[in-house]
Amino acid sequence: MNMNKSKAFAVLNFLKGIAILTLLPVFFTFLFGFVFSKDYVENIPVAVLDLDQTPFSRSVIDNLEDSEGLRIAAYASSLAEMEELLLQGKVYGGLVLPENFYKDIQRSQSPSALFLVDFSNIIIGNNLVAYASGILNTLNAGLSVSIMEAGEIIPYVAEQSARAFTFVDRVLYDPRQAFFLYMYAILLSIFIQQTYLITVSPVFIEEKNRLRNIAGESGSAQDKKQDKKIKVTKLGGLVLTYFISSLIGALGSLTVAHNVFGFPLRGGFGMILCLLVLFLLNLTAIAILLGTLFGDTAHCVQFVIFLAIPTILLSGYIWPPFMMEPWFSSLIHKLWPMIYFTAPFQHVSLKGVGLESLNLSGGLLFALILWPAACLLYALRIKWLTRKPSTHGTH
Amino acid sequence: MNMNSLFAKLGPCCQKHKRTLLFAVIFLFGPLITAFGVGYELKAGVMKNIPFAVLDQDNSEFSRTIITYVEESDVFVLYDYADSTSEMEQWLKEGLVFAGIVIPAGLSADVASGNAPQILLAYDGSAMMVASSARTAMSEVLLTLKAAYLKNFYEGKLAMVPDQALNNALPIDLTYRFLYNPSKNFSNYFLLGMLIALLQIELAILGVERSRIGKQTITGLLRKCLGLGILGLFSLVVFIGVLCLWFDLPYRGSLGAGLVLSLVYALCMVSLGVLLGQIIPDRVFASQVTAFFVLPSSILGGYSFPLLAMPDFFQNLAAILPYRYYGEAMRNLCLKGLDFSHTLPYLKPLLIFIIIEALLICLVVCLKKLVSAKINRKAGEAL
Repeated sequence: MNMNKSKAFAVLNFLKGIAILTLLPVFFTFLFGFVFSKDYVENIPVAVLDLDQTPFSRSVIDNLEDSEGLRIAAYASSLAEMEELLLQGKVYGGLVLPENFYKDIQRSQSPSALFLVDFSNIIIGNNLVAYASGILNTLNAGLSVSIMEAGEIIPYVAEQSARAFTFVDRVLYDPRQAFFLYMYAILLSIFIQQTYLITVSPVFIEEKNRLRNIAGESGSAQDKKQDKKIKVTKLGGLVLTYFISSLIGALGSLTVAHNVFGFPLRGGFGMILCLLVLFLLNLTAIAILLGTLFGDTAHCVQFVIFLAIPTILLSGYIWPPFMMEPWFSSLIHKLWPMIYFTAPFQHVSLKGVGLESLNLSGGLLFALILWPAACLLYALRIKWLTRKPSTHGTH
Repeated sequence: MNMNSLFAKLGPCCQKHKRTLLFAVIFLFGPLITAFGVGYELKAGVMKNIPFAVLDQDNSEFSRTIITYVEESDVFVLYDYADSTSEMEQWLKEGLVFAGIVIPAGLSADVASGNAPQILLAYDGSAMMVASSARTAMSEVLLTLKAAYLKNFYEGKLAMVPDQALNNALPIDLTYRFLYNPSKNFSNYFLLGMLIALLQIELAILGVERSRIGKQTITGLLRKCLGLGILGLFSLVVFIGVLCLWFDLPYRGSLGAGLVLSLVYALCMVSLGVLLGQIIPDRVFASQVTAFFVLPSSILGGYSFPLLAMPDFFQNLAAILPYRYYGEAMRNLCLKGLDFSHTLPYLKPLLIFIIIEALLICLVVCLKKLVSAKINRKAGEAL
């Protein structure tokens, strides 16, 4: 009866692992795909303080109102009131048009228009500046043209001169600068990493304890050797099944990202598969290492959960390596394999770069060093444990 | 007491409290190590030395002036001069440069004759952070250059004196004042929230782990939540202190407000963990479920990616995430210098969460007792 219960538990655990590996990446891709589905930050609330109260100042405000990026949420009656609105987070920006604004423009006195921007959130701040600049710089250019026409320069020449030269932005690979296209690489990395380590590390812990228990059991050395062999083969088969399941989950996630949320896959499928396989190989070595270090499955799973945020932050993706000290950049390249997947995956998918442009050697070297080290430590750990009396249970 | 007897006593003590010690190491040292590591990584704070390339097809004094203006800004560092657009594209593709300037042939002559030529600015859009910083900086540099050109134009064509020419080049003197984080320091904006996200999962899992130990009564569990919440407060204070002392994160707001919010938040997350630990008997599964609910809140809470940019459903969903309130409140306390009254809108929802969690813990304990009593009664009857 107990044997049947334990077998049923093992089967359930196995199925739970398969489900986690194949379904969770797809689920989270849908979730975050919808979270990031709006391409632009729009309707940013701003306040206006119009001390001029002329048709011209009102037309400036109307221009702001007509912008999709901005929404006039309040009309302040003083600077102190505007600052309080900013402090409370009710608005993210504020335009102050001074007294005699229009008169000073007519007299070519170049009056100051002040635009306050809350930069506690850099994304909102940058968007706000971009929207406001677009509107107010256009206004300035128009006024320049008027001044030149008043100086008896013909309108076409005035317009061309006011423009002097223009600069045209071309954003390559992701022209809309959509957040999902930027974030998906790191999200996919973390989906794969977390689901894989949470599922596979406990397998090594359980097998380590079972192998240790075999040593503690009575029976001939021949039988024990035979049992050990059988368990190692089963372990390999189980890990390979989880490996393939994780690949399926990753490919499922990619399919959703591409077909539902427009994530481009400009590079070859083969390239992406290579990167995935290499990443999973490295993660398997880490799972062996975790299986060596931890005796308690719950603690191991908790540790893997704790790793999520530090590994994202230290992946060299959010903050580029050229901004770090060289020694620090070199250190994080040696610490964790995510750095060999996230950025290369992004480059392959968005830019369509080929094998020659990717630094696969780094990831391969990581695997070549970590695999033997992890296996050796795992074997040594089992040997050390077989010298101690066996203690039951891993939970 | 000599060293031998000390170790002899320490050994069994450590063995007895192995789990607590292990958790203390992960709970306290883990976030500290991460804080130092990531703090050091983001130390520069502001994007600088972005490599860019130039394709100068004009090769005039004016084109060289443009390049010099860009080079002299802190934000950019010249990688090389490209011989063709395809070479520049290749450098962008390989990640050798993140921005490129293409100056067309005849630029100088076209500007002088009022033909309004176009300068092409190319950016690597796959690196959003870098592209965004590069675009903003490039725009500032070139607008300044343009204003200088227009001033010279007015002086020449319309015979204006310099002051008047400048006023006409810029009819409206637009001034931007960047508040709270004027240098747009990425570390000030991002680091605090991400480390709070790390700590919140640790608090929740601490709750899961400790919920099974000791008295499984309502009073016992609520006392545990309070004790762990105070421990959580200590942890939050330590690691925010590290950010302020070592990584120059400013703290301009009310200290009292920060302490109260941190305590309430720690209580909130620990209570969530205790609740889930009571509902789900398996430790591993309870930890996984906790992670499933808590980890995504670091994005869904709107700290880095703003709620404004999310669909309405997710904006409403954020209202039930404790991280949404605490993350924003702490950032505002640090950067904006809020006083206590400003933090009340953040405090109220957190208190409501705690009350709901406490009630749910009571409910779960009562239900478990009822079920247990029923099972015991049936077993007694069977005997």
